[in-house]
This record gives sequence, C-alpha cells and structure tokens, in this order.
Amino acid sequence: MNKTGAEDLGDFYPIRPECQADTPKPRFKPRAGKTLSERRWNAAFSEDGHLNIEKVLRRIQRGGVHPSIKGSVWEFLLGCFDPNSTYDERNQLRQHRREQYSRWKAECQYMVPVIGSGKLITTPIITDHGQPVIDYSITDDKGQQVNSSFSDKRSIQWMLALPQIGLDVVRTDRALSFYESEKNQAKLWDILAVYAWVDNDISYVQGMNDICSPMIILLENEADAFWCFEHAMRRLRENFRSSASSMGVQTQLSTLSQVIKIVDPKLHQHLEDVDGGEYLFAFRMLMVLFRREFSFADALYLWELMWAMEYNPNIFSLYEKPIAESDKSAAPMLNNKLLKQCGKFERKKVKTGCKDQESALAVFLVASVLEAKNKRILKEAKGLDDVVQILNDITGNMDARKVCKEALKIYKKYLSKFWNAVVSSLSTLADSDLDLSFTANKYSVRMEGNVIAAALEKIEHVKSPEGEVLTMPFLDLCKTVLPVLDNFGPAMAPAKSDIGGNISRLENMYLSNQSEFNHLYMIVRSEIESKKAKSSSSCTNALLWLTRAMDFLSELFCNLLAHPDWSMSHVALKLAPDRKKFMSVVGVKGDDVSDMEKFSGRFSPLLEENHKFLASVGMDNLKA
Amino acid sequence: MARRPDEEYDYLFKVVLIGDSGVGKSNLLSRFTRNEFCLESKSTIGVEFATRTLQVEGRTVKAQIWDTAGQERYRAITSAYYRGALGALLVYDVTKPTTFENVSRWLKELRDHADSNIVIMLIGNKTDLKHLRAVATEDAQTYAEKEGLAFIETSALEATNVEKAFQTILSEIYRIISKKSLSSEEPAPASIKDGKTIVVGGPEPNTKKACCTSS
Repeated sequence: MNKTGAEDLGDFYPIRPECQADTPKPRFKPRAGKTLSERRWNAAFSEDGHLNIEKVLRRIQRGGVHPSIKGSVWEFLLGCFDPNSTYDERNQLRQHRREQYSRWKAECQYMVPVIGSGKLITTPIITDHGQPVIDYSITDDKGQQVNSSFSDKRSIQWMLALPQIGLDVVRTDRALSFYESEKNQAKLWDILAVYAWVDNDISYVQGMNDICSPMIILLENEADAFWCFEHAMRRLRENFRSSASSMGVQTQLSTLSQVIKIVDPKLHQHLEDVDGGEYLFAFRMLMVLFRREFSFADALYLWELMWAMEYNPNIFSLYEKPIAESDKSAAPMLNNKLLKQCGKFERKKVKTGCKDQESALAVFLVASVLEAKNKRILKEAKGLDDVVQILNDITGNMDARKVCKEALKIYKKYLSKFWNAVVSSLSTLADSDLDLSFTANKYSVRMEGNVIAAALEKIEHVKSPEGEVLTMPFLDLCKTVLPVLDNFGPAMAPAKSDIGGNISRLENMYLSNQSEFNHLYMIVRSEIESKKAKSSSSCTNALLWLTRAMDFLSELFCNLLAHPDWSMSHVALKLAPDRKKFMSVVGVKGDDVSDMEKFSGRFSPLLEENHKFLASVGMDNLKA
Repeated sequence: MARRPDEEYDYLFKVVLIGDSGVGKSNLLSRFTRNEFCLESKSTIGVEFATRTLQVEGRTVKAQIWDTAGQERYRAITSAYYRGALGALLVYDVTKPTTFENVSRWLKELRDHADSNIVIMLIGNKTDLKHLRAVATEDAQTYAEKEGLAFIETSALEATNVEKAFQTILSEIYRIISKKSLSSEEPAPASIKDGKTIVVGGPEPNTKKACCTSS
C-alpha cells in the first residue's frame, strides 16, 4: 500500500510504448483518505453481504474508486445489484445473468458462427437485401459467414450492423496495451454484437464501443462485462436512438440549451449568434460521456463520480421490474433514510420532484465545461468553428472532480433561477435577472380558442354544492390555463411538463379510487394518514407545486389588470414588451378585460383556499 | 477584435468530408491539416473539424474541413453540416468495394441536403494497400466522369496526393466563387482588385477531371 497518498496508474491501464507520446496523461490519482480503497470497500459489507451504500457513495463522490475494485463498485453504481441483498442472492443473480448471456450469445452464434470464435468481422456478410455475401477467402461452408436460413427483418438488421461494430472495435482505445490482444478485441465485438441483438430497437450506434470498452477491461468475465454495459446503456440508450430526421441525444442538447439560457444568458446569446444555438458542438461529449475529452483513466473517474452523484437506492428495483411495469410513478417513495442513500445530484433532483431523463447530470457537466470556457468563447469565438476549436483544447486538460463540482453548482443555480421564475410572485421575477422573452407570435398558434372564457366557465364547476373542491374539475381548470405558459418560450417548457406531471399524478390517484378521491383534499388527507404526504413524489407535494404554479399565472393576470399601460410595469419590461399581443393570445379582445377580471377574481381565492388547507395540515411549506 | 495576423485570409471555404465508415476520412483530414497520420485513430462521433490556411491561386484561403461520422445512423446530425459547404470530399476505400458502391448513396445525400453548386470530389483512399486493391482506378474514373465529379486516388498513410486533392478542390471552389462574383458585379465592377485576380482564362470546367486523375 502506498503512504504518500497518490500512486501511479500506469500499471492498471498500460499504454503501448509507441503511443505514449500522443496519449494525454491521466490526472486522476487514487488518494488515501479520499478515494474508495479496496480495504474500505470490503469493510462496507456486513457479514452476509449487505452493503452500506451511503458510506461508499460519500467516498466515491470525494475521490473516486481505486482501480483495483472499480469493476465490482461499478456494478452497484449502475444498479446491477441491490446493496440491500446478501452475497448469496447476488451470486444467484449473477449466475442467472451469465446463463442468460450465454443463451443470447448462442442465438447469435447460430446465425453468425464468427461470434465467440475469437475473431471479428469488418466487412459486410450480407447484402442490404439479406443475401449472404460470398467471401472466397473462407473455404468452408461455401464462403458464407452466415446461416442463411435467417431472413427475418430483425436478423437481417442485426447482421447488417455487425461489420460496423467490427470497424469500430478495431479502432477502440488502441493506445491501450489491453486491446493489442485480438482476443480482447473479439470480446468487445461479441458483447456489442449480443447487445445489438438483444436491444434491436437501438441496435448498434457508433460511440457505444467507447462506452463498452472500459467494462471489458474492468470486469474479467465477459457476461459480467456485458451486464455492466447493458446497465450503463439503460441510462444512455435514448441518446443513441436515431431516426431519419433526428437523434435522441438532441433532447439532452435542447435541455442544455435551456440550462445555459437560464444560467448564462449572455453565453447563450453569443452561441446563438454564431449559429450554435442547437449546441451540436456538445454532441460528442454527451454521446460518449466525455471519453474523448478526458484520458482513459480520467473518464472512468468522471463516470464513477457522475454515477455516484446520480445514484438512487431504487435503481435496482426499477431496473428489475418488467418493462411494462416500470412506470416512473410506480417507483417506491423515498423516505428520509433512503434519501440519504442518494447521490448529491439525485437527492436534489428527487427533492424538487424532477424526474425527467433529459436533465441528467451529464447535461450539467457539459454546461460546466462551457462555463469554464465562457470567457474564451465570448471573446474569441466568431463562428461555430471557433467554439469547436476552443472545446477541442480542453482534451486532457480538465479536472474531472472540478467539472462535477461546478456541474452541481450550475444545477443548483439553474433550479433556483428556474423555480423562482415559475412559482414565486411576479415581483420576485422582475427582480431576478431572468429574461423570459415574450414570443407570442411564435407560440400563440398553440393556443386555441379563448383561454380565459373557457377557464371562466370551468371555474364555475370546481366546487361541489357543499363547497368542496372537486378533484377532476380542478385539474381540468389547471389544464385549461396551462397553455398560457407557452407564451414564455421554450424556457418554460420544463416547467410546463413538470406542472403537467403534477396534474397527472393527481389524476392517477383519483382514477385509482374515484369515489374516495372525488374531493381534492381527500387525497392529501389519505396521504397524511399513511405518512406519505411529505415524500417528494407524493400527491400532496404535487398539489402544492401545482397550486404554486397556478399562483404564478394568477399573479400574471392580476398584474395585467393592475397595469393597463403594461409597458410602464416593472414586470412587463422583463416579460412581455407588448401587452396587447399577450392579451390577444389569452383571448381578451380589445380592452374588454371583464372576463379576465372575473376569472382572476375567482381563481386566486380558490388557490388561496388550497394554501389554507395545506397549511392547516402542515404541508404548505414543503421545500423544493 | 482583430484577428491575429496568422489568421488573416481572403476567403473561408467550408468543405465536408463524407463517405462510409472506416475509409480514412479523419486521417485524410489530419494529414492535410497537421501532416499527421494516426494508426490508432478513433471513430468520429458526430462531427469534428479542423482548419488550415493555405495559398490557392495566389489567394490566402482558410479551409474549414468538417469531418463526419460514417454510420448511417448519424445522418440526421451530419447532414445539418452540409449547409453552407462549398465543397465535399466523398471518400471510399479502394480495398473495400462496398464503400465504392455506396458512393451513389452519398451523392444522393449531398443532392438532398447540400447547396446545388457544391463542388464534389471523389477520393479513393488507401492506395498504399496495393495487394488488397479491389476497386480499379478506371472504374472509379469512369463513374466520376459520368457523375461530373473530380476524382483522385490518395494514401493518407503515405501522404500521396492528399495535398493535391485538397488543393484541387479548393482551387475549383475559388474558380466558381470568383466567376460568381464577376457575374454579379457585371453591372458595376466595384472592385478592380477582385477582378484582376479572377482567372478568367483559366482551365475549362471539363479539364478539372484531367488535372486531378491519379498519377
């Protein structure tokens, strides 16, 4: 063991001597007292094998994982195993998975015998129409490399993907001595081939080789490496989904665009000016999770920091459920004990009730890289090419931990700016420097009919004759008003989907027992009884945030009424340069604001009632 | 902000590198921009790019070369980069017939997404692998003539014809650009300086093929 606190990594991921000059030197060094060591890792298990994940996560988030144990730690971080299981249970599961892998591999082998032979394919074995390509260098089996009895679409698609996998495998991490061995290359090829067969929806896309390569180095058993990769892909696979007009990763890119727009409007504007508003320059970072921007060892360090920060104790059970059941809302709720077992990023996310995949930590990592280069980009980038150039220069020069730390900061900044804008009153909004440009022209097309008139009609039916707030009519009313948010441009899209999420959470609860939950507040009361109300994924929480979001809209209406000359209003300067335009989209014609006055006069007391009720049961001050 | 002196140029030409996966696009680019060849080069994810400033027909031209991923799955992203490209280098591997057969697909791709006046050059790469050659020069030559493309064979590894390939396409772009500016300036020839540098009596369009066949 090393006493200086840092040791050399050269022995773990040796570089071929002839490549040493061109390969960036790793910055990561295992540090005593910070990095999760083998000794500490072993000590984190109870006698029968339960893992104290909380303790382990704390370490990893501070200093990564020692190379000697990365493989087994990653299996937990990626959700292959439940820390709350015994050695026996895990061994059984591992055995089961190994068998499953060999069954799949055998299927593949039966179609294409090269699989599992220690060799790989880089040229087409069938034509686009599924006819076997005759290779005269192969003497046996008539020069064919495929079992031609398979001609169904899935098999053909898969066989067509194989040469691409081969072409990439021979180019994967070739500077590492590990991949000098043909056997190891073939292992990478086999795993990617089996994956492409099993996940035929995604199949194989360039870049998956970069994700898979470390797993093979870290986990000796091929099936174990496959499952580790397969679990990593569960987080990443949507990025690799492609159609003729788009690629999945573009969803994350547009989130990135929103994030930068909110945390650094100046930078966003500059990027738009140089035609980089789509953030395609960040494409590679998200696709292969910074494998190209960091040295091999540093990328692994970054990944484990990231996965530790994103860790959720429910991950294993979520993954183990059959796909049909893995509805997000069905996730077990997190109590305080479980919340402690979340990574730093995930905890924040859970607390704010954010569940979307698009705002993964990786997005904020890119944001943090951009922010680190903010000055240079603003000063030097006159075109998209300059942006790419500046980002190219980061290769091998970034500190993984610093990037993660900054990413968390940006996430916090983003959340606070974002939620401030949505839920706080308009005066707060006006004081924040958030610029929500009013783009009525662009978005008004989505507003159909007269929102205000429709809302006014619906508000009549929200209460029962006894004065109780009725669940469905209330939700329906919220839905009617919600499109108003569209007028604030794409920055509001996440808010809107979040509000939509809250509405559907309440709706689902209602549908689960219509008679019991006919009255809105009964949902809250029942959650309080079962002690679920305080959970971030509770309906109580949903109602609170929904009410807060509606407060925002209601205030907006009040503000419009209070300032007939909107251009004089403090808020208007920030929100909407043209009051008339806004009025016309919400359905106010000319200066006839009577409907809006009526609606506003009834809506805000209704929301106030919600707050009063929530306060009466001690739930009105749940924090994000 | 003024550009640094070494960044001064008369023209900026955007060129895209396209073609099947593994034909050597990235190495052609690194050979041209940095005079490097990397045996361990990785697959291109999405779009990467490099620039080099050089003299073309007596003018300083900054060539901005966008290198794209070869896999079909990436088409949605890569085609976005065709916009504004004045030239395209369509690369195939002389040792892999399918990469040559796919050239027609790539041409269609360009016709669908790129500017209609884009200058296209067909490049047969990896001529150093003599014993593995599977696409005859004549076949590619004939095809290029039929499609109206410039054509050259290269070896990024041995640095054969790489410089020539880029020089040729950049000159061709320059010729077209200057002709355009000449015709657009016809009513009022605003810049005599520009007018002078245009090679009016330059090679006829059909000679371009002759000047860049492989030697």
